[in-house]
Formats: sequence, structure tokens, C-alpha cells
Amino acid sequence: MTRLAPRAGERIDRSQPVSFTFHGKTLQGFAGDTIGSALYASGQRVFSRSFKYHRPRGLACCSGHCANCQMTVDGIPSVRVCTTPLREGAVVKGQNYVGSLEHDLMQMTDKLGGPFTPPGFYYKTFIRPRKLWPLYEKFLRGAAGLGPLDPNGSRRERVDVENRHVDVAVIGGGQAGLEAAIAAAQGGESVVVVDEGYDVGGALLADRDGIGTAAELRQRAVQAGVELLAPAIAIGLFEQGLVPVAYGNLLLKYRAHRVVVASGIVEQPLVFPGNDLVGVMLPDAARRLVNGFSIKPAERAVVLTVDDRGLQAAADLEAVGVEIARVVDFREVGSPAIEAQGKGGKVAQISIGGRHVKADLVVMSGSPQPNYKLLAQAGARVEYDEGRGVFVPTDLPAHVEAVGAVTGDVGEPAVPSPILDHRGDKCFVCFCEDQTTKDLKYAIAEGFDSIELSKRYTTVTMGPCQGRLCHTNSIRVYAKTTGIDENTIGTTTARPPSTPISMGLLAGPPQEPRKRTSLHHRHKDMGGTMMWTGAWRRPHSYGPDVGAEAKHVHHALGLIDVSTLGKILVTGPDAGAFLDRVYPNRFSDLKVGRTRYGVLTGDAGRIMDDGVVARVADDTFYVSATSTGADGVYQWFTWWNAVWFMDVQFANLTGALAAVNVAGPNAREAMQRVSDDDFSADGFAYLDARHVTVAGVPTLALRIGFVGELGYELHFPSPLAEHVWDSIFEKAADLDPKPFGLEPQRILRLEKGHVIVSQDTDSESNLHEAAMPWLVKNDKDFEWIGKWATQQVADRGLKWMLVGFESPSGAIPVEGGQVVVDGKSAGRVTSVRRSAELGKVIGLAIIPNELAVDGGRFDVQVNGRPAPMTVHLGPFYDPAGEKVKS
Amino acid sequence: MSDGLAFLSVDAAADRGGFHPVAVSAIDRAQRDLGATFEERGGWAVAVSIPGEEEHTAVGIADVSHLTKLELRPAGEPIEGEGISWYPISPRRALVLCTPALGDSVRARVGERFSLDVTGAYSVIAIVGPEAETVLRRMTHIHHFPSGGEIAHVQGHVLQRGGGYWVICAQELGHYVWEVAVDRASALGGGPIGVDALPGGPA
Repeated sequence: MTRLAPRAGERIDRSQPVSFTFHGKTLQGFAGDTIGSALYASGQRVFSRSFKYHRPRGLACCSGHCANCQMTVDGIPSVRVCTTPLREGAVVKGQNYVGSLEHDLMQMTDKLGGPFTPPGFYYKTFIRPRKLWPLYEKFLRGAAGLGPLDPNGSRRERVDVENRHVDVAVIGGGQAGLEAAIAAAQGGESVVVVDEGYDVGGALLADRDGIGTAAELRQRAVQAGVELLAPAIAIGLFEQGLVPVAYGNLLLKYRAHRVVVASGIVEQPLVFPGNDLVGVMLPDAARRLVNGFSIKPAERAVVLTVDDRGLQAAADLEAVGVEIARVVDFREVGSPAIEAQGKGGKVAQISIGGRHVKADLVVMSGSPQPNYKLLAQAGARVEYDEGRGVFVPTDLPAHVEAVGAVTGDVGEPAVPSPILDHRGDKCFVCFCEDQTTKDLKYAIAEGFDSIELSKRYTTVTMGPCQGRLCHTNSIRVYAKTTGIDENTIGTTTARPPSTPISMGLLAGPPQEPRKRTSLHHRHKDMGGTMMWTGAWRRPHSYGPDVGAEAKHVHHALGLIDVSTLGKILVTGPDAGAFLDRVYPNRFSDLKVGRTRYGVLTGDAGRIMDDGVVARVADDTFYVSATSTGADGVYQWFTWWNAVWFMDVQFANLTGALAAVNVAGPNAREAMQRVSDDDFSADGFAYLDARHVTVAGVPTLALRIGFVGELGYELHFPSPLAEHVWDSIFEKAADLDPKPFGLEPQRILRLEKGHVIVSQDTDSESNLHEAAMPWLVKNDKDFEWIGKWATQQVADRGLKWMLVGFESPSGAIPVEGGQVVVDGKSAGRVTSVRRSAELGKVIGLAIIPNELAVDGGRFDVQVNGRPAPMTVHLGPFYDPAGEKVKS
Repeated sequence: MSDGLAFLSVDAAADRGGFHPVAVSAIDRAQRDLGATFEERGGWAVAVSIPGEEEHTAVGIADVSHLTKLELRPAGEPIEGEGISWYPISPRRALVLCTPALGDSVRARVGERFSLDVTGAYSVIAIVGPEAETVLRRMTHIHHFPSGGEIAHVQGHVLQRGGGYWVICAQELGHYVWEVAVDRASALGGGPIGVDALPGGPA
């Protein structure tokens, strides 16, 4: 045990022991400990295995910046235990090893793998033979990485996303941040402070006196009404003051009038052989262990430093009985050759200018780098301060302020370039990705001599620390190797998240908007199999035999829920004239109480939607549109009227009204059972639109026939849909009513040769080549939308035609199947089904116009071979339309 | 509203020929599955109480979709009064919500304005209680009221009413927004309640 006797100002509460397990063994810490400090106090020194070489790694920063302490906690991988508060019962395990954390069998890659794993090795050493790549990949994925996810795991923890608004968001709860927050709160502003550490206080928490100062500031902030969040991660700075914060299982989306960045500095490692050994750490790590957690981290230490931070660490260590064997202040002694040497991956001695000094702790301090990433994300420029040897932010965006050390005020200038002269291997620049100075120089020699290219090739800065501990040093290596100055080399683009966060938090709670008709539960109660149609849930069918379900409509009575159809009210003195402008055909002459089919074309004359239009009053039209096109048609109408300023209004009633199609030979009788209105052939003619009452509900009934039988499409308020549906089924029970779904409907409409827009048409389809020239009315006063382009098609001659076809052999091509003429692709099948009523395979296809004659023949690829099809012009079923008009 | 548009109006349904039309909300089934007690009010099946609602003191979620809703164009002079909520969506459109019993009197005050009965077009969900604001913040970024915008990834509106909030959305999405609201409430110790449990009485 390395826990010291109680010390004034320590964070831990020794009256509250906390138990947890590490690899199944029960250990104990105290309230106030982090998991990392509790493990360290119990004697654990190896915390992880490095990404590529599986080198043992120990605590290095104790500030949540590096990746050395990542462990799996309660099943969640890659948790930085140095900043994670200890909790009762936590289950902690190491990750990325084979065997044990102490004796990882994969460490052989460190000994043997070097020649095989240079930068970009997966493009070089594991690329041939190519067919073995799946095997290589499996091995490499298993050999390298961080904590594994359970591929079969499901979402286990609840996450919530919460929107908050605040006057001031302060990112960084160190001294500068807390003081800025207190000042803002005392000025009457609402303030939140976000800090990644286990508590607010920042660098103060490493200093024995600073701990008390931090506590005072904390108390003042709370009294001023400041909200303190720690540990919490500011994911990025976005436009308009948006600062998303990861706070446990909450994603807090703050919108702030002002953002104050007080993210401080990141202590930088020195680059020398063995700088990643267990027991080599940054000054704040040593000081936090001593001052915050009352831990004696070693027996004998060597301090290597370019600034006073190392000296402060030496003083704190000495105060608790650590022998300071040597202090190397590079401001005074130049750059002697340095090499840390270890045993079993843990530091045992350090060579300084050729002289060996035994030590079980090495404190290394490079120039502290302002933690500018969030400012850079927000648009600040970054420049190299040659005097201090660090990058500092400049030119902050309007709503963003910076206070404290992040501004570049890091104290006296340090040794500008603490890349120490060395001979030998394993001088780590990027600890996360196991990249050394040799690797970076290798990449430069291969031509990856820009920092952005190098990043992508070597993966430096792409690990969990996201460049905090490696970016500046990598640029220094580049500068030293290429002779180009650091400012010219520049930095890589800073992107959120600034600190890794879980995908689950970004995904938020699972919620999938889906639209339901007001008959949804009736469909399910009646055995409907639901399917997606755009954002809607609709019944595919109600049983296994869709052919029989379709046939039932022909021979008895079927009901289908068509509530998803777009329904747009167009009303006003110019309503008719407006529709004449947007449709190719004419509606201003449509009589009140009648319907007419219409197809909408865009500016380029391409078909965009279709539907039936009913005139319900002199100045009011009821326009139907496709289910997935409803919103687009509504927008189309409003957009064009914003240009024309006609006296017309629009209302999208798609969800307000339910719609049911009652179809079949028994349809008339069924309607008479639920309505006193006249549904006779004379009283309610084909294509009429009537205001009726059905089961006590005022209803707009349209006598139209999409499915080829006598039918009535009923439109009424959605909340009354179940009542109307139930009433028809009840009152017409002896007429054998059955529901039918989308799939039988598709068969039925195909039997009539009816087109489904976006199924049988695409973005190039026009009225002429979709066999609808009869819709084109060029004698209207106004140039209707798409007129010119449609005329161009007629003028240049038709190349294609949408036609019906039968399959004499019974072969069923797939939809999209290729039409083949003279061995070449010459069109495609758009729809195809087997009709149980007709006993044949029928469909629609786009074919060369010259083949579009009744009885004409073409081939379609079926299972790789041409299958003959026969052109059939007109409806397959009831060509004269006697049934729909009965 | 002209006679030609009577088929839009839920209120126009009436007993006839032995039929007794009763309107149901898009959230009806979800509440039935919870064991809610329903009463017929103003032609609607309304969930008046839901088992367990007495425990949902932190935040309650209630379905008030049975409110009569009229859209007026132009917005014009506000129609206000006890039991009436006026929501100007834009200078050219306003939504008036009221209890069904007040529907006729509100219609009488519409005057020459073009009006649409959109009662069946919208679901309305009430969120009430000390944690109502937190629930709302976990559903939407909207924080000025009344206002429209994205709520649980769909378009909707939020009004401040009855000490809490009313969330208005398309009725075809009512079941989904209800699910989200109840889910968010459950994390805060709240849940579904009947309309009779609303502060200030039923809507």
C-alpha cells in the first residue's frame, strides 16, 4: 500500500470506505477517490496495454488527457479511470491484452512486430495475397485496439438529451474559469461551468494549497448560483452558442449567449527513449496523487523539466518522503542524452548523459500547451509562439471568450523545443497510437510531409487523446526533420468531439417517428401485417394468400384504409384557375360534385405526383395526392402561389381526414346499410363526389375505381374512423366484407393498368411516354407548369413507352428487370404480379416506343435468360370499365 | 365554415339511424392498454383516469386531443375567454382551442374569417407538474411560448397552459409523441394521468 497518513486538504474521506473489484479481486478505496487513484493506492501500476505494441502503460497525466488509464468499468470499455469517481461495487477490468494485464502474450508485437508494423503497414505488409486480407483483418482487429464492445449487446443504459439555455457557459472549472463564472453570476447572468475533471478546480487540485483555494472558489460559485458540472465533457463549440455537454448519461445541449473557454493547458511529455514506461508521468499526475489522494507514488524519483512545473512536482514528492535522485532542468543544462530503461515495462533507471540513475518514478515536464482545441473548432486561429514554444489561439469568434492559461499565458518561456537528442528506439510521440519519432521520420521520407497527410498516414493525434499530448511534439519533430518552422507547418483541423464520448449518448434515446392512420389498431386486430410506406405504417395484407385477398374484392366486398393519401384543400375565387396552371389538364370546368384524375408535372415536364381532384363547392377543390407526395404537393402549391399571388388558400388535411375505399360487387349494398343517402347507379354516378352521412358521420364520398370494381372512397374526420369502419363491417356482415391491404391493392390496380407514380414512373417520365397524352390540354390561357418541356417530348418524337405486358410462359421477372432487345438493354419492368383472378402474370414496363403495339413482343431477363413477354395495351381486367361504372 | 366542408368537423357527427358516433383520439389505444377509465364527453371517448396516476406527482402526461380546434385565416382579433386558448401561429393564421362545449360559441365569434375545423387534425398532449419543464426540455429545444418547431424529431407547437404545457402535433404522430412524453416523464418519476387529474380540472 502506498497510501499516506491523513493529510490536510486531501480529497478522500477516510470515514467512507468504498469497495470495488478489479479482475474479480475486491479492493477498497475511499469516497473522493477516483478509480485510478484507488487502484494506484492498492499497488496497481500497469493500467493498460498500448494500442499496437501492447506495451504496459501506467498513470501518466491523472487529468483525463491521455489514454494510459483506459479500462473497462461495469462493462463499458475505454473509461478513463483517472478522472472517474470511485463508486461502490464498480467492476473494473483491463482491456486489450491476451493473458493478463501484467503478462500480455501480445507483447511479442513489441519485440518482433516492429519491422512488420511501420506506418501504413496495412498497405504494405498485409496486402498480399489479397485473398488473405479477411484473415489478416480478423487477426489485426483482434490484436490491436482498445476496449471491445459486445457485438450482440443491446442498449443497457438509459440516455436522455436535454435542451438548456443559459447566459454564460464556462468551459473549464479551474481558477480562471471559476472566477469568470462567479463574476458573471454576480452580474445577474445565469451561468454553467463544465469541467472534464473529477471535480472543478483544474490545476488547483494538483497543488496542496490550491486544493483549498479550489474549495473556496467552488463554494463561492455555488452561492452565486453557478451550476457546476463535473465530470462533464464539452463536446464542441458550435454556431450560435451551442455547446453540447456529455454529463453521465445526459447529453445537455446548452445554448449560451456567451461562451467562456477556460480549458487551461495540457502538460506535454518529453520525447526520449523509454518515455512511455510505467512510472514515467507528468508533473500534475505526481502532484495529484500526493496532494489530492495522499498517495506516495514511488521511492526514488528523477525529474526532467523545461519549466517550474517539474520543480514543483519535485518539492511535493520530497515533502512526502520520495527521494529525489536527480533534477535535470533543461533551462540550465542543455540537452543531454536521456534514456529511461525498465524492467518488465516499468521504469528502473534513467540514463542521463551516459550516467545511470536508479529510479522508480520519472517526472517529465515539457512546455505546457494551451488546450486550444475548442477555440479552434469555434473558428479561432492558432499561431506558434516561438518564445514559449507552444501554439496559442488568436482571433476569437464574436461570442467566444478565453480566459486563463488557454490564452497562452503559460508563464515564463520554456525551452522551446524539448525534443531531446537521442539514439535508439521507442521515443514515443503519440502514446495512443504507438507512434515514435522514427515512425514520423519514416513517413516524412515516404513523402507524407504535410501535417494533415502525416496525420492520416501515421494516425498521430487520431487516438483517444486527440492530440492533447502528441500534436505539438509531432509538429516539433516535423520542424526538426524538415527544417520548416512550426508556424509554417501549422496544426491539423480541430473537430468535435474534443474528447471521445459514447455513440449511445450521441444517438440519444431510441425513438422512431412513425405515422399511423386512425385505423392502425383495427388492422392489427384483424391480423394485418404492417409495413413501411414512407413514414407511414400500413397493412401489407391480412393473411398469407394475397391473391385470394385480391380476388375477394372482385367477388364480394373489400375495404382498404387509404387514409395516408394526401388531401389538400384548394379554396378561393382563383382556385380553379390555379389548378389549371399547375396541372396539365383542366379543372376550372369541372362541375361541382364531380371528380377528375390529374397528374402533376414539374418545370421540366416530368411526372411528380397524381391524384383525383373533386370539386366540392364553386370555389373549393379537394385534391388528393400520393401518400408519400402529400407534403411535396402542398409545398409545390404554396411555392407557386408565392410567385403568382392568386386569391386562393391551401390547407393540408392529410392527417385530419381518414379515408376508406369500399369496393366490390356488394359495395353499393354495403353503403346503403350505413347511409340514408342515395348510392344508386343513377343517384351516385361514376366519378361523382357527394356529401353524404355514413353511420351518422358527415362524409365526402367519391365514386372512383382504382381497384377496378364498383367502389366508394369515403373521407371523414380521423377520430371517427374506427366508428365508420366498425359500422360498415357490422351492418354489412352478411355481404362478406374483408379488409385488403397494399399488396392485394397493387394486384388489383395492375389488372386495370393503373400507374403508381414513383413505381411505374421515375424522374425522367413524362406524360407522353407514360401513355397519358390525353391529359395534356394545351389550349389553356396560361402556360401550365411543364408545358414547354412536355411539348418538347412530343416534338422530338417518342422514344419510350410505358405499356402493359403479359408473360406467356408464366415466368415472373423482377421489378426493375431488364428489357432486352437485340441483346441490348432497352428498358425495364416497373411493376409485375401474378393475378389470381386472371390466372396470368401481368405487368407494366418501359420499352422502346416502336415495340409498343398490342401483341408486340420483347424479352425480359429472368434468372439470367431472356423470357418472352407480350405487349398488352389497356386494362387487363374489365377493359370496358363496366364494373367500375355499374 | 361553409357547408361544403362539414365533412371536416368531428362535431358534426350525430346520432342517426341507430348509429352513435364516438370520436377516439390517436392515443386512445395506448391509454386503454394502461387500463384507463373512459367517459364519453362532447362526443369523444376521453380517458378520465389512469391507474397509478396518483403516483405521478412529479409530472403528469394527459391526452387532451378532444379539444375543439379551429384554424382561422387571417388570424384577426383574438378570440379569448375562459376555457378558450388563442394561439397565433402567424399573422395570417391562428389556432383556437376550446372545450367541445364551447365549440359553437367560438364558431359564432369567427365572423368573416375563413375557418377550418381541424379538431381531427391534431393531437394535444398536456404536460403538468414540477418536472414538466424538464420533460419538455428533453423533448424539444423550444423555450419561448407559444411557439412551433421540432418536438421529438417531428413538427409541432407548444403552448403554456394550465400550469404546464400543451404539445400540439399531427394526430398521425400523436401516439408517438405520447410515447416520448411518457418515456421522458418516467425517468423523472412521472407518467400518464387522466384528464380529471389535471390541475384546474379537466380541459
